[in-house]
Amino acid sequence: MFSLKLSQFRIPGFLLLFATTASSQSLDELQHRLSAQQARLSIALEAKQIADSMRLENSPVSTFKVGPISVMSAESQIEVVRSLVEEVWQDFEAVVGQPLPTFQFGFFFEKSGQSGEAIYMPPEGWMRLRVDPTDRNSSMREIRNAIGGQLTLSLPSELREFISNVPLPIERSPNWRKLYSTIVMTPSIAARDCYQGGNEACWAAVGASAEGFDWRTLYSTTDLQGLVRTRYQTSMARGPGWYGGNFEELRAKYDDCLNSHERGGCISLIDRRGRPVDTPFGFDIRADLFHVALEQGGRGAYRRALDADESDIKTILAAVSELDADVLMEEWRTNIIDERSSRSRNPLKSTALSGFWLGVFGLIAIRRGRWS
Amino acid sequence: MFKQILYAHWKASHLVLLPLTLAAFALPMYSASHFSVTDFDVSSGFFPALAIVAGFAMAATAWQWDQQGKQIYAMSLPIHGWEYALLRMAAGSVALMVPVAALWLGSSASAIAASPPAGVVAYPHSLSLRFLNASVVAYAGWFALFSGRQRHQLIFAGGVLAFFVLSTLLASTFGIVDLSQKLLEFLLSSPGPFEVFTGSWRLLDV
Repeated sequence: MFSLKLSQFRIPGFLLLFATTASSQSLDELQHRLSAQQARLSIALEAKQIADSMRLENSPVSTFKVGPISVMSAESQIEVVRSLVEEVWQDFEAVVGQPLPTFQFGFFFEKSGQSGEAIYMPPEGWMRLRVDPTDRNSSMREIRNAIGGQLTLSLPSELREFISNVPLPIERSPNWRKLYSTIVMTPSIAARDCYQGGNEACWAAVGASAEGFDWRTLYSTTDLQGLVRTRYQTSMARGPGWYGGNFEELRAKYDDCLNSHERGGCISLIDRRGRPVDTPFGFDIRADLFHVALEQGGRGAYRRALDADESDIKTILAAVSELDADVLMEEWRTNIIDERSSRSRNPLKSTALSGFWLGVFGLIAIRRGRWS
Repeated sequence: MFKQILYAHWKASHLVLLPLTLAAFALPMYSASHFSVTDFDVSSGFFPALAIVAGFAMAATAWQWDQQGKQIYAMSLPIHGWEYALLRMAAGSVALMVPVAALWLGSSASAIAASPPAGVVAYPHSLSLRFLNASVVAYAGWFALFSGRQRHQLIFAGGVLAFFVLSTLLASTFGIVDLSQKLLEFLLSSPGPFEVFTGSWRLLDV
């Protein structure tokens, strides 16, 4: 069965493809196509090896489809594998809706009935998953990540970059404390204004402001000093021996930035470092914002994200959620602030538990004392 | 009777209590002044450490004179052994309130003096209650351990050490479940006894 699938990658066909298109394509395009085909070939060979290894275990291999997913599995464990993938896919289907783009990827479960690995084949490259059919939860987690990763990879590039390729979750399950901490404690004017309720500041902090992303406008002088301190602390500590000839000049500029409250000096030092300043809110915040947009947009939201042809993230997210951009931002921010407030410290449970253990240890001390 | 035992405990422990109390008062100030925008705060690790040390010191001093006097004083009293142990435990718990009160004062003062950014809150009472819980649990644990004979204490410590070494070795050699990890997970997570030492110990927090 597998050899049929592999036939499209056989070398003669490969060379034929190369020859027939050579006349009409530039050399760069041909090289690009060649390397893409090579990558597909190596994926297929790798998959063939896995299939062969399953055969060596005297376990015939079967292929079946779950939604848009092709699954290859040893026949001895086909029921387990099918139920795992079906269960995960049902959850995703309920969220992403239909119609979906065609996903050509398969799972190859190794070592029938035992803890093993699965080869997951996204369109580009391949990856191994730890899959143990006897440990249903961890297997489902791996498969969920693989499918979520694939769904993210299918998004337009602007959106993928915005969320740093975070796999699409079945349901939003943010780390409330971390998100809230980021909003409250990120040293940036935009972050502080965002917490106070400024929607435009929130868009600026995620790098999706209407004016475009200019980090120089998002940091106060004190914030800039913090950035400079972070970026130059190691160099300053190591001294001229490590840094080189113009250390003294740099040291003077560094001290000037930290002591004189001159924005220009700090900005030039940051520019000099070469490393670009990221948006105040990082990928976790940006990904969560996208997940809220999907949640708000309901079943057709993912399809709208796939179809987005705008380069402006703010417009894309508004289209995905079918809400006004500022309403979406307001929804996201109040959600995080309200959730965090409702999850603040409650020491009563801990006190009750401590009382219990105090009693237990007390009993041990009395019962096991020298005079018992 | 309790008054005498409390006085005896005070005599045995006041020299240890003094630095503990000073540390408990100063620690919240240190924590507030080193409040960091990053998620990792080293100073908050000092609070559970101080609770463990305070519990250890009070438990050790509770039995110190009895061990030196070969238990003659305890056995000469007209009460049962369990009553004596209970009184000893209660006296140590009361003495433990001194560093706890110092920590509450220190954290309340720090909370008033601090000017955290919007969205960050000071938790002086919650932190003090947490410290009280942690130090009492630590004290009770140490007290239970020290209440046995010295030989039993050594056997217990050796047994724990052997268990951890053996289970780690077996897990790494045969790939079986590491029982020591399971035990640690139980001890350090709810409803385990030492869960109180984990989690956030920040005075200023979100």
